[in-house]
Amino acid sequence: MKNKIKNHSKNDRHYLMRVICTIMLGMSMQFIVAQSLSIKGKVIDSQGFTLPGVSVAVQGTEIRTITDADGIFRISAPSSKSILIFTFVGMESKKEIVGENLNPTITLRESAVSLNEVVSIGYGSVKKSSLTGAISKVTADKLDERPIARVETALQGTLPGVEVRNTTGQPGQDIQIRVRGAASINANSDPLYVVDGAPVPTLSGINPADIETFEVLKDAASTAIYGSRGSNGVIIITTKSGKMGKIEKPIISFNANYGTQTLEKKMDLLSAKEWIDFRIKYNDANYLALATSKGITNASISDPNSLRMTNIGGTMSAPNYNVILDNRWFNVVNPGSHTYTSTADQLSLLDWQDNFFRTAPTQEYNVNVQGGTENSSYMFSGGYFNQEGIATGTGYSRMSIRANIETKIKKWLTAGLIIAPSYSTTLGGGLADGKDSKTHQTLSSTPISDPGVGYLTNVQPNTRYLWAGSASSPTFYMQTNLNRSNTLLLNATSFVRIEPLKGLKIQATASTNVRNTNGESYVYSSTGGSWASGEGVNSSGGHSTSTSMDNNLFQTVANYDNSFGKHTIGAMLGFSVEESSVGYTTNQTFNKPFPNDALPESFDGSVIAVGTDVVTKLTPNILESYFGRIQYDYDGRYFISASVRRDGGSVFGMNNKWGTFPAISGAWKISDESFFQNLKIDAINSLKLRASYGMTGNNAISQTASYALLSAITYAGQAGYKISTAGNPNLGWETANSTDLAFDLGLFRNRVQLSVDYYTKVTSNLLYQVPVLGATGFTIQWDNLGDINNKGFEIELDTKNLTGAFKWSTNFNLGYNENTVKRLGIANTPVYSGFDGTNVSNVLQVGLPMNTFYMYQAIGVWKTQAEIDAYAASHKGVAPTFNGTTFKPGDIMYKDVNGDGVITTADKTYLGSPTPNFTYGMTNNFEYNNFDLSILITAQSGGKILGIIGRAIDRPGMGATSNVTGNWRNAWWSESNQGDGKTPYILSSTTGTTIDSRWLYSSDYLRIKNVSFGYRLPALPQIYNSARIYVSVENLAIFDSYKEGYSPEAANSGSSSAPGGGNSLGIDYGGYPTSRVFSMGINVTF
Amino acid sequence: MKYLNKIKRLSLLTGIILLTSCSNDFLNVSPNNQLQVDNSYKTPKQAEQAIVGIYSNLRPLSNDEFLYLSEVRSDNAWVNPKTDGLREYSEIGTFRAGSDITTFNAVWNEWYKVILDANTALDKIPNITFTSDAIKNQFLGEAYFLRGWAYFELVRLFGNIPIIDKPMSAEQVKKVKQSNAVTVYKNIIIPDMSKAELLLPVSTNMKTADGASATTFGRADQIAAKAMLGRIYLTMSGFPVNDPTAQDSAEVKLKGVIDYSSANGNKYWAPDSTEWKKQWISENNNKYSIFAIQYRSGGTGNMAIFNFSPALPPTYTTLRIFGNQIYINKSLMYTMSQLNSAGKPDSRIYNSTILTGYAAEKNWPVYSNLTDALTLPDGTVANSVYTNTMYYKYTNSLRKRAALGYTTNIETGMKDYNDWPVNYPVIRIEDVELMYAEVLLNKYGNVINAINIVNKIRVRAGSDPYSTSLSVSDAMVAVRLERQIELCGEGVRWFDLVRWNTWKKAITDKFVSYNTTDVDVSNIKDGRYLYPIPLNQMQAEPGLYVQNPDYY
Repeated sequence: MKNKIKNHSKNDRHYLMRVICTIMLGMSMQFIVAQSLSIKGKVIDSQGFTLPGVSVAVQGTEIRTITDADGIFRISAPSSKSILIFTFVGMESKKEIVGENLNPTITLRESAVSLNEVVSIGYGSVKKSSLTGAISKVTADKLDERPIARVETALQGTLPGVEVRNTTGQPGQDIQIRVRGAASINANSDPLYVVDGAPVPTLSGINPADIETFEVLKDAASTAIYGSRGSNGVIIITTKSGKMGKIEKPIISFNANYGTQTLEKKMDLLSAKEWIDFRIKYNDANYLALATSKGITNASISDPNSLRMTNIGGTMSAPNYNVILDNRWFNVVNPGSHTYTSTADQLSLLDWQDNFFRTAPTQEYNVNVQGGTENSSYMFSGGYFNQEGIATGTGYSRMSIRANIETKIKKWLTAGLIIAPSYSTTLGGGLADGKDSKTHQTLSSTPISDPGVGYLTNVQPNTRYLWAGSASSPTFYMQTNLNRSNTLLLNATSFVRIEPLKGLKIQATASTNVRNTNGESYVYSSTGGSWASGEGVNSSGGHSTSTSMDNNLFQTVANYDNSFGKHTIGAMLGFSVEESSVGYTTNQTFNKPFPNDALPESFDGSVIAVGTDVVTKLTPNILESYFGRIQYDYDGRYFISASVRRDGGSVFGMNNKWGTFPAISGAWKISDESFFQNLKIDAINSLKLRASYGMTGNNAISQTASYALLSAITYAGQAGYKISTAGNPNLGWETANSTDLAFDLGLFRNRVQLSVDYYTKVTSNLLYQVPVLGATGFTIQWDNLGDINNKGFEIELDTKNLTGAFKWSTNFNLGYNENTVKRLGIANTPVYSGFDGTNVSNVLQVGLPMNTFYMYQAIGVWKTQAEIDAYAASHKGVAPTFNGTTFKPGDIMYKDVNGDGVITTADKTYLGSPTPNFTYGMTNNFEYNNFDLSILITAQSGGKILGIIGRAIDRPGMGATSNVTGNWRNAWWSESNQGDGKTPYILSSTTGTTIDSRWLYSSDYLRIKNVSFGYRLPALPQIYNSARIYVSVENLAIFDSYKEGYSPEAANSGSSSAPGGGNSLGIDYGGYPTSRVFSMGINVTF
Repeated sequence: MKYLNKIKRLSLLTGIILLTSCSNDFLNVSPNNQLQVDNSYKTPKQAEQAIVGIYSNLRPLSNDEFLYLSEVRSDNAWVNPKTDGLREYSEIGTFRAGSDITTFNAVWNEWYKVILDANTALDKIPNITFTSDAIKNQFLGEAYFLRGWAYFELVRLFGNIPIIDKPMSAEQVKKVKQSNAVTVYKNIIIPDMSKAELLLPVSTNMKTADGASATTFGRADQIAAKAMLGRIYLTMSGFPVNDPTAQDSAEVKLKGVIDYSSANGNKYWAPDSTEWKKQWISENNNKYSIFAIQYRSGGTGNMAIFNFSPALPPTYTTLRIFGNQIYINKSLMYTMSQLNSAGKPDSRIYNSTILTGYAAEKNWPVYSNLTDALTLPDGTVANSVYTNTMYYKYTNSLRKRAALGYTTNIETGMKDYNDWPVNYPVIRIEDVELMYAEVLLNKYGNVINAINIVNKIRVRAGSDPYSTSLSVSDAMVAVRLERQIELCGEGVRWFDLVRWNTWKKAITDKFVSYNTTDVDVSNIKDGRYLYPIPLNQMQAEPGLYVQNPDYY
């Protein structure tokens, strides 16, 4: 028995060893103890000049050196079989076996460097040197070192013409990308995302650390191959994979990152003490005004509370808190001239921003194994990311796994599989972003509360501070309540590829994205103002699920590539069918009263009243496509490429299902022409001209937009149907015609590379919810009406400034885009939109950029009656009025655009575009020995942002119960106390909530987006191959002039129900702030 | 072997190509979760569902039209002119509102939505085979009623409006210009409502598509059409149409309704003041109304109740009602608070119609009900008149319900504060009787019969009756005042003021009585008995519509 156990355990151990070996897959355990060889050599270029600063390394070790000023290097190699690697900027790198010659002379050839890179072009790839379209590529080198939740962030500032906008600081939220400007109004302006060859609906759930490269297809010649979805650009993502072909040791890499986040910028609001000052002035002014209206002539601010109430026709038994004063204020401030009873009570003085926004940790861990054998390659990865939001109660976490496997079954048959499940959790999603959100409440919450209450205002067990509004503590709300959504996303792709003939590859791919989301929420009675009714009485809960399969894809693509002498041809032919939105959603909410708050995640509709209980089967969106492309190049000098795609889409009307999208492009590599070489311009070593034209489409509208539908209703308990939408059987594609002219220039042995593109993009047959006459019974209807022009240029400049031991390289990119509405509907009727569809702030109008800001232009404050009288005198004695109401001192002064002496709706004017014209990005990389430093700067200019939160907390008329912005320190109070000349009188009532330019700011900014400093640890081959530690700061500093919100990139209040509202960029209603992240981490490769 | 390989490769290739061949049919994907217009309206059941669909469009109108465009605009209400933001009711009540106020656009669109659904029903239902013509006629009658009523409201509000009387495309609608008020009355309102009266049975004979009784669903019946015709004709006889012959037609219709009621056991008359109060309690939906917009909780409730109300504390409602600043005009408040000879107030006032305030509750400060002086028409000054009293008629507060003996908690079934299961009366017998009293005075100078109608209503509420020997003009004052008190909050006052052409004086008096510079009497311009054609409509097709006078 004992023996048996022993044997057994021996077997177990054996087994365990095998498992460990399998897990550690080739982690190098060998100790190298051979005699080393001393080598002294020289490195020259093809013309025989010596090359200083060339990096020389022994493969598989950390042994490395650099050539000196004479091109000489000295290095010790472990054996004669060791391989030396020579690398130098602008040269092709070279590997040499040490062999017998210990004093070699190495010749490095000038390379076209990155021009030999392979670039994905959609259903195929080409060498960058033969590219004819406008495609930018980013290698996602250090992506795993930035504490970013979303892949898109990596693109910010790195590519010209690609505007990446963090419209919210909410962890894990979608990030907006615009390629060469927005080309659509109602239909989506998001680019098409293609991951490993298969379109995906969103990049959420994709682990940034798994990404090898990004390619952004910008011009129509490149995107037309994606036809009806190409108008907004295409972003192609390739994930990491192993290499097939020879047996390679698996590479295991591990990285870990930990960071802390803090508020990037705090908004300027009144402090508690300043608010008390402000409130006293307000109540005094309000009292005097009310008393005057009751005919009291001797009212004074020294009147005690009881007299105040009497004078306004009330009594102290039902006091008006906008008139009487809190005696306890005078323990904090002492404005004099007031009558009050002194009290020992100390009010709580609050700073809600400090309370609500916290220092929050972020952490990330990734393991990645990749390798290959003769006939197969593999990559496995696992990652965990967790970010607590800086807003209390928000957060995001993601677990992701990916397996990319490819195997050669026969010489002519290869099959592969990609499986990438991820599970993410969002906490407090949407609760701290935009109108009426907890961020909004944080900004507006009264900064004082009753003694002992502190930040637990108006929640159990505290009663409301009588001078404050009815909002409850946003911090307590977020800490206590449940709001969580979990998403399981499975991305799976499999393919079979056959090569029946040399150069011909036919690949059939099937792919799917399965998405399962469930959301749960519970709001406790205790977190609201009516907590006193008891546990559960005012609680509410909800649950929602959504199960869908998106982008179910089946596609077959044949590629043929061959060369005959100087002729190289490539041809591609393909077919695909795609189906999205297959599945169901359910939405359930439960009404108060709950019996108690004990089970916030389980609801029994037979006990608790059901609020909403809706099950919806999604309407699938089907796309059927045929596409092909031919490429030809002669002698590496002349390139031409032509493609066509035919798409049929189910979202369009019966009469307009199909669209055809052709493209053609060409390039001429002048620098390879003999006449050019005869010019002997030494500085220029490559020059290529490119030109392209293409047509693309946009089909991103509701699947049911073309149908006349009925919606179910009940009336008096009876079921019925009413017409809900007007059908449009002629609804068709939105198309964009684009041209691109460009050159690529390489200078000084390609140490300087410059690309300049000029483009135009004309979107026509705009898919657009046209406002229609109410007499139709509808307010809007989908139609293809309108044209938008985008044109601009892009500059990308890469320079290797220093190439010696101290290396410095710079990537600078600049994009300029000009956007103009050319035609709208039949009669070019302008379309107005705003933050909620009724408060107009933007307009779509022919001749102007999309969603141009349109409002009254505030130019100051009427300081005195004399000023108003003088104005009237200069306008034939007509007193200035605002829509009929005469201005009084302290009112906002508007620009009289039409000069008629009065302000009416005719004086609304155009005040700039929400979209910036210029976007810039600059990355500087420095390297010295084992140290590296990279600095990313992003900037934009030429746009505006409307801080519409100002409408809620920064205008007269809203009273003084809430907190207000710092502007009110310098408000107009009287003709002798005129303030800053910009901030009106708090009792000014002329303009109500009119949206005007007081809250319109330039959205120009320059941000030091990321600074990373790394150190490569000395090699310890016994333990690891390479290791690197780094520290990084995301959003180190921002230089901007936006005072009414947290981030000039914010956009959170576009209303999709209003025509054009879906795109209202640049309207910020208390957006989730951006955070600054300090992080550090380690990268180890085994 | 090599040959075999080639065959294998070719067959795989063929397989891949076959797999990817698809037919085009599958691009025609019908919506999965919604019915389509083209596939519906085929059976009597679907016809009835389409009729119910027309009614469902009425939901927002108690709020958007009857509260905001009638009560708030009239001398029943005083709105705070200096609210904490752009409150449209405040712009409307102070006559500052221009064409950009979205409530105007909302009401315009809501009535034209009724018209769209009615037009579609009237177009499609005649082609459906019914087993009973009576049911088919009833459905058509309901559609005519709703369309005629829609045009009546639109013409009262906006004056000059486009007539759309059949299903039309957006392109066709763009070619339809406005018609003047007289044309709208003659060409569509009167014909539609007359057809409705002809086609509809009385409520006891109202049927569903299956032939079951539809009596309790509150749908328009013959008497509703008759009463509505009475109101339409009386409106035509007044300002601005001033059609002298219309009063005769009004008399016939109004008398017809009164006669029907008395022949059927005073069907629409609440016998005592308690019953009268209870008719606003949700359990008594449709008990005494001739026609009312139906509201049920569960997403089809009455949103006007929230907007009628200032903030209410927890013992009144568990819902968060944070409230508007719409109050009873202080001069009406003064009139209504007068005690009768026995020292008692009119029962329609305290705790049933108007709440003057409430005591402090946890987290709720006491209601700040201010008082003010009021100069009476005879020049004397009344002190301490309440200025912040609430509209409370429909509010099914916990306290009011308990006081009237109702213990069910209706709030548990409500989705939110907009979901009150309380009907909104469109036309009641008291309204019909008082309109008839006007006709009696105008046409015959019949003071006795007119004052008897007034007194019947007053005495039920506990007020002293008037003498029947008043002069005709004094009797008319009494009739008009009784209309104001009895129908307060029911959305008729503004249209009465316009019909009598006393609106300008009434509003001026109200503005002056509040003695504040925050309202400006110069805003009460002559053309403002109408509302502006909404800005969105002017902009949707520039040049098609002409704006009403005194608006920009």
